[in-house]
Amino acid sequence: MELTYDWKAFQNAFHLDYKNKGTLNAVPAPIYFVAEDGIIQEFFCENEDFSEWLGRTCDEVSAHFKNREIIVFDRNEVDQWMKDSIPQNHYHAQMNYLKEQALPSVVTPSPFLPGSKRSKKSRHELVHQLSKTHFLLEALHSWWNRILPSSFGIWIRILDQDQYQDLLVVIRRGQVQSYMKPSLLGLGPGKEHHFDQIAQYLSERHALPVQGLVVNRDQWEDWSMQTDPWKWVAQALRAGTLGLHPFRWGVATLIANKAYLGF
Amino acid sequence: MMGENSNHFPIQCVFHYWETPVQELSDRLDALSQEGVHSLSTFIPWQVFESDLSQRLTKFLQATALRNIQVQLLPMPELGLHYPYSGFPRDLISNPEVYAKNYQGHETLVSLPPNVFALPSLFSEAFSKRFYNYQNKFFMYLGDLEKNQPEYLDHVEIQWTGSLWKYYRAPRSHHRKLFSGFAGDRSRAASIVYRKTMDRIFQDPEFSDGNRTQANQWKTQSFETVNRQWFYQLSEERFRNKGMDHFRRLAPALPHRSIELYIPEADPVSNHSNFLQMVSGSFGDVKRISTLLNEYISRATSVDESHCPPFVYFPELGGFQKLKINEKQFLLMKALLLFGGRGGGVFIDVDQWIQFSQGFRKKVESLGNQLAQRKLRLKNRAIYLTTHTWSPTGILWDELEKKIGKGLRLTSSFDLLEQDQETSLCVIDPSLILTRERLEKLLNWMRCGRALVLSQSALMTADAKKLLDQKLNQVDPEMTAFIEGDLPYHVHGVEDGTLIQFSLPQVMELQGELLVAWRGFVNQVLNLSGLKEHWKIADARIEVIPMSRAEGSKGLSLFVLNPSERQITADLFFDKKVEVLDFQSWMNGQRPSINEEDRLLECTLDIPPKGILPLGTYGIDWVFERKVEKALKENQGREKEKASLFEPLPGYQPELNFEKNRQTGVE
Repeated sequence: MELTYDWKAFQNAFHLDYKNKGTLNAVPAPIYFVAEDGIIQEFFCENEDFSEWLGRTCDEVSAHFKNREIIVFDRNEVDQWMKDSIPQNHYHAQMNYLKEQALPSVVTPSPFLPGSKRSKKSRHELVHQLSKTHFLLEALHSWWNRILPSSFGIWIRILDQDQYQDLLVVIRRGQVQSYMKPSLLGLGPGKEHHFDQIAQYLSERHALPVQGLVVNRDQWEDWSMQTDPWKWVAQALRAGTLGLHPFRWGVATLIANKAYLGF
Repeated sequence: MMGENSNHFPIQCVFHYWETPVQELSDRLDALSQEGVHSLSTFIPWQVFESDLSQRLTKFLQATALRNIQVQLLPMPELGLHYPYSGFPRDLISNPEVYAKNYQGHETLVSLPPNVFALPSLFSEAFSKRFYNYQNKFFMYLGDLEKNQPEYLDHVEIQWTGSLWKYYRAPRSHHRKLFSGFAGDRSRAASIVYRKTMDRIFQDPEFSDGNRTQANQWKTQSFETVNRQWFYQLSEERFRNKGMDHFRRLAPALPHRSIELYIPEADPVSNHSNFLQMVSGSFGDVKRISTLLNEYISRATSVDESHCPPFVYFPELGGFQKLKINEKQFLLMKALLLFGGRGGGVFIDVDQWIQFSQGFRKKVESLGNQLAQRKLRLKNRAIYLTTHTWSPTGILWDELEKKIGKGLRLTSSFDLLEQDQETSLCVIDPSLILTRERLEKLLNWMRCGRALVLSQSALMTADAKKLLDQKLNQVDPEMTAFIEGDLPYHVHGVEDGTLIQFSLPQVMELQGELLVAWRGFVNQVLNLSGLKEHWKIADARIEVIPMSRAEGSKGLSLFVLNPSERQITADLFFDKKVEVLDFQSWMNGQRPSINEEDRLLECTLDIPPKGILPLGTYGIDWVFERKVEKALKENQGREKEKASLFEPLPGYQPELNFEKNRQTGVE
């Protein structure tokens, strides 16, 4: 059974930034709180425990952590955002919606923290952190969608020694419409490494143009953890370690533009 | 022991059969067999079963039967499944009319991928109709398979889980305790059933005594919270029993058992944490999951008079998957000790399991074997009896929990209490309504030197009050004591047990002197019931899980856990001199002859970050509790003799069970 929204496969391909987790950073990580009427209800901070602050006021927190970046969300707002995210079809869209809603609270210090100011630099970092998207998804959401077809599929094959992982992402009007591990059973035996044929098969099966990308896991993970890996992507394409199936000059040009012209 | 004699292996690998194409199933199962996986658990997502045109489930069962792989099927709706809306039919779950509501009138949301969605109400008519229809189809499917291809089911067991009931909680005050928010579904559908059910319950002569005014007293606003809790408990029990009865009729030969399944990251209490992890760009909060494990394990549930072993599931969809390897290992081992020690265990996705190193898997399997054979177990020391398992508890629970730790269990099941053979203390929540039959059970439990703690203003029917007065009148005045103070209480020596009756203070503000008074009272109760703290650890970050060996063996193992990111050096103090040795020697029953001066009153431990240090000890002995256990066994022997005298009597029928009458009352 092909799952229309295969979150496991999607996050294995696009949410790899957690692999940086635990790396020591000179700057302490920001502390995230959810508060209700100025009382701390929930917290999260990478590698740190703030349980003892639960139930205390935001004023106490800001007085104590003068040199830390503190982001506070209002509980009622968070609950409402979550509820409003329900009609979105899939988790990726729900996540984007929640991040969009959360952005103003990150940009502007919470009214629960009177007097706290956020420097331009830290604001930029926090916003960057929140709006960070996988480089490929970011490109697909950019001006690319004006020149790419209104509906198309990206088939990504990530090679891992003698194994591989497939993901087909369907994009409609610049938005991720569905994501799945494609079934290649109709392709016939022995053709699982005939990449052009696979792309063609998927294109016929899903009735939309499909662009295949074949890449090694190490390379893919390496790129996924960077904000702007396009230069490496372009180099890999030239060196043949990234395969475009079928090879389309238009797609290669888009990659080259990103890599060398920056857009 | 609360019916926790389970011989199931405590690690269960979860395989999502719908994710593997039928053509690849054989290869996949062969590969798993090669990895040493010979038992698989699989959820049956409702929507997957209903739209299974290509008979994937049958093919999966066929393939596993061919390979002698044990299969546990979990057909109840659960959260954390890798299927949209956790397998609930989309059209149903998108209908706001079926949503459950919390006491504030808000939906209860689940934020674990693959979707954020609102929980449906199990009381909703539209939902129930569809659900029972699905359940019926599933049972008939099993019945047909049993008849036509019985070999497919040779290695199959059905595991009934508790479904959504435990998740109906409002998030209020969750920052303090997992179960501190008001529990229950307040949707319109639930309220209608609630009114009908309570009307029926209070028609019982014990509540009304033929007098309508008396019956109405139980329905006043002041009883609303208690009645609601009772109603939710009865509804949950009925829901579970109804499914089981139905199943037994349609697939009678298939082995089955009930378990309680907890999924920390799908729990609504994790919603805000999940949100913060998402906006911060991080995933996985080991501390939070670790805390939730402690809270879950304190609850005990039952179905059909049997204990439901507790299990925890770490799905691949949440933050668990993204934790560091040592964090995952720590959580897995901790869960294994806590849940496996109580006859349950851990569900883990098979892909996740085989990612662990061979060495770690072997270690887990070895511990799992000891737990499955009940060579190691987490002993219950005291029971807290309450109306509803998932509702908040008060100061008495909090203070007892601080003192007794993981040896304290909360339940609303009188069946479990009756089966209990090892605890020496039972505390009754002041909100529990006591009928004559319930009180009889409690007084019966109190034999053999056990202590029962009851509020003087406990909610009792007139019959129950009469019974208690009778019992207290029979008590020798010399066996009664009154202790004055901010929290005055009576101690009565009833037969060979101890009844402690305390007066609830008028003011419930838990600060200053009153808080001290509660603490003092709890200390006195523990002294009276022989429950002592035998060890103390100087560092609050450290957790200790005490595990007993099989019955009859002496000694106690202490698993010392360091959940932090740093190595901790901590002192462990004992109340008397003990022998401390390494865990393996202790498990093997070795007891090196140690001079008195080599015994320790304290020892210093270096516990690595996210590490678990197992120790074996001799000398820490729950002497009083052992005495109670021994006395209970002797008493049980006498009762068996008595029962065998009654058995041949024609027409002998056990008394009608009040609880069962209640259950049938919930329509």
